[in-house]
Amino acid sequence: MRMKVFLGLVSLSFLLPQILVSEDIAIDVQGTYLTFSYDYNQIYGENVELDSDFCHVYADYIKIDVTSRLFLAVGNVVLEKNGVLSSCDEFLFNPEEKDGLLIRYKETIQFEKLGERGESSLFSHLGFFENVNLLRFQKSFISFTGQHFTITKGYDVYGYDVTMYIEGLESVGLRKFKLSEGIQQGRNGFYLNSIWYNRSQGITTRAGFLYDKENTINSRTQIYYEEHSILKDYEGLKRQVDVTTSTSLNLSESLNLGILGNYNSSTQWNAQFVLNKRWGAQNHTQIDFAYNNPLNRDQEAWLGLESKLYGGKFGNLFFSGRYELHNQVLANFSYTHTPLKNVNVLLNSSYSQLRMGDSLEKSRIFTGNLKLSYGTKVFNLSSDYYLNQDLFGHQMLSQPQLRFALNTFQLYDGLLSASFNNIFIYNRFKTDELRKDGYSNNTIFNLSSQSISVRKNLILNFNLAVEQFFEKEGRNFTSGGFIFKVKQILTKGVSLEGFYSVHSRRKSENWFIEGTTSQDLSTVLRVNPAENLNGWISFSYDPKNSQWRQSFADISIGLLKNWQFHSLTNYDFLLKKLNNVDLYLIRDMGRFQIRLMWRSLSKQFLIELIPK
Amino acid sequence: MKKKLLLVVCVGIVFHCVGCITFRIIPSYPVEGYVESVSLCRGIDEKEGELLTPLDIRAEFSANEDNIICFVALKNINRKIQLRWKWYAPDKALSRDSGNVVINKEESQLETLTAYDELMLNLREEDKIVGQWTVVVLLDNQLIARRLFEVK
Repeated sequence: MRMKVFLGLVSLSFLLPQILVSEDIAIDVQGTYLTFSYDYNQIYGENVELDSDFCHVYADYIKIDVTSRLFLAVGNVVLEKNGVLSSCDEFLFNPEEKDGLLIRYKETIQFEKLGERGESSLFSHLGFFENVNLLRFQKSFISFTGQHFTITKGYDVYGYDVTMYIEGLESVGLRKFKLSEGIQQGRNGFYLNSIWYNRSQGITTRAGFLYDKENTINSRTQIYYEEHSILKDYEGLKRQVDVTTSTSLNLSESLNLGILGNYNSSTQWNAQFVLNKRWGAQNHTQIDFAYNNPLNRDQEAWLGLESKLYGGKFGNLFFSGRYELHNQVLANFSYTHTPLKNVNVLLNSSYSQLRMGDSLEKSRIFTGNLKLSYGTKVFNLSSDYYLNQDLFGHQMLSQPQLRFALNTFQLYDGLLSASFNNIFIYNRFKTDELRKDGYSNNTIFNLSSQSISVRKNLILNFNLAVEQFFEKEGRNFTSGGFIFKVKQILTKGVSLEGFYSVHSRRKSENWFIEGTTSQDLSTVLRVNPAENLNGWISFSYDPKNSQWRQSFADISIGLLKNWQFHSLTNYDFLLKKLNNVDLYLIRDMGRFQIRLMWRSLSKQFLIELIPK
Repeated sequence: MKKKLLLVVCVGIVFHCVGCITFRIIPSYPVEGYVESVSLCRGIDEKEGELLTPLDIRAEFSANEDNIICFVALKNINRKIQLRWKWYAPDKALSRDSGNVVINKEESQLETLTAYDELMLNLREEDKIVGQWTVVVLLDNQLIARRLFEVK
């Protein structure tokens, strides 16, 4: 029965948006040549006639960016609006906002506004299409050509008698096809996010459905599927499905209803209804009901109330409480206030009463924290009191703290910058039989330099840090570290970098001092002579033990048509072996990226579709 | 097995008849002479017998520059064409008109054609050159491209 309720809920949130989806045609484009780039969600056309509610346009060329709703008609443009004919050299317009700008190149550049908007926002988009040319479309991974496209009110693009091109090669012909739908769609409708195979999970796929209507409804359902049956020696379930659904419905300007659901094929599921009421600009109250069906545990039904109140000069208050029908409780309270300039007060506490595993007993834990802080331009001072009381286990930890920090300050006209921090903590741990007190203090000083140009093409900088720690138990230590960095630019696009770091940690107990010191010397050669070639190689050396440690190499080469080869290699000198080689073949496709990947470490070949 | 095969064939026929997939649609092609690139730069690499290459492409120039170049690369030219550049100053007034320049008089079949025009910035009054400029390119008196650039 409960499962039916859940499935009903998923179906409702899934079907409701579908019913509301409209496919009314808003814009009709015809031309001697039209092409749509799926990668960039853009249209280019020649000898075009465009018909829309806003106006009727004839032009030599047209460029359309579907995502931003920007249209540019170029060359011998003739447009008709309300029976009035106008001509111009360029016409930039946004039919959704009914905003247009006619541009004429005469003895001066003449601009003429068209539309109902008082001030055109199109002036700031004049340069938008400068890099949108036919070549960009021809280099797209997926593109379509035809002579008749339509654009719906939801800005989905349909093509009639179109030819599909994949990587510039002519593919199938399609009589009517939704061009803008494909691997993923950021707007309303179904989308397929990724399909890939790997040896640990088998075939995995992620798909979903999205419906969004501004200020009314937002619904998103996602399905994640794993097929394991094709894997040898896989011991778990043959397949696994995860469904997540979330619908948010605005009932009025200040009242919002949320329906959330999760389902996992291992029989776990949960559903939640949330009603949120806003009071004024910043206050809100939320009531929610959640039903959980966890794996191997009893089902739970939670009722919650949450409220946030902004009291201006009296401070801000937050309260949240949740009660479960098996007498489980969760409560949170917080209060923030600024009583004086630079003085802040924060008080928060929480209480939880939850079942412990399968037993009928419940843990009961109370925590509280009070923080008082004072901040100026030079320093910050704060005191904290933290309390954790386990009412079931009869244990209590109280911890007052005092923190002092000097804000980062500059020396020698900003050449050096320094910071200082100190934290003092006092602990008291108490049980029925035991009481234990302790304290510790930690001081940290940091000094760093800006990049200093010693001579042409030679840059240096350094960083120094010192830390002193002491505590009641006597496990005191002093540590210090120094990093020195030098960069020599050898020629255009080629540079050599060197790093030297030394770190020492000394434990001091009465008269006894012991500790360790480590050193590292690294060098990196960076090569970036051209836009399509980028690489670096690094070596790491331990001067103290006279040992080479590791080497990394990374190279990225731009190939044809937005294809890119990338490799990452790691060699371990201590083990004397190649640790890992990652090889990537990447195709950048505007809205998403295809990555073919080989990993030597896991001996995996992966194909990934990554939405951008 | 036969049933499955029959089902696949039937589904294919239905899709074909309904109109989702067709196996051959005569594709349309773009007109010849389309723009490959239009860019603004500080110099041109002119090697004999090779296509011109723009050097130091940018959208912002210093007011101290002697000249600014508008470089054009066109694809698929097989006839005589006329190219024209119009440069508009920040006050929107026409500052330079190259007039029509006749190219490819021999009507050769050119896969790529490169050409450029120069705006002599140092010949203009200093207070009139700072701001946003516009250059438009016309092919056979038809607007084919427009670029904006800034002089600071």
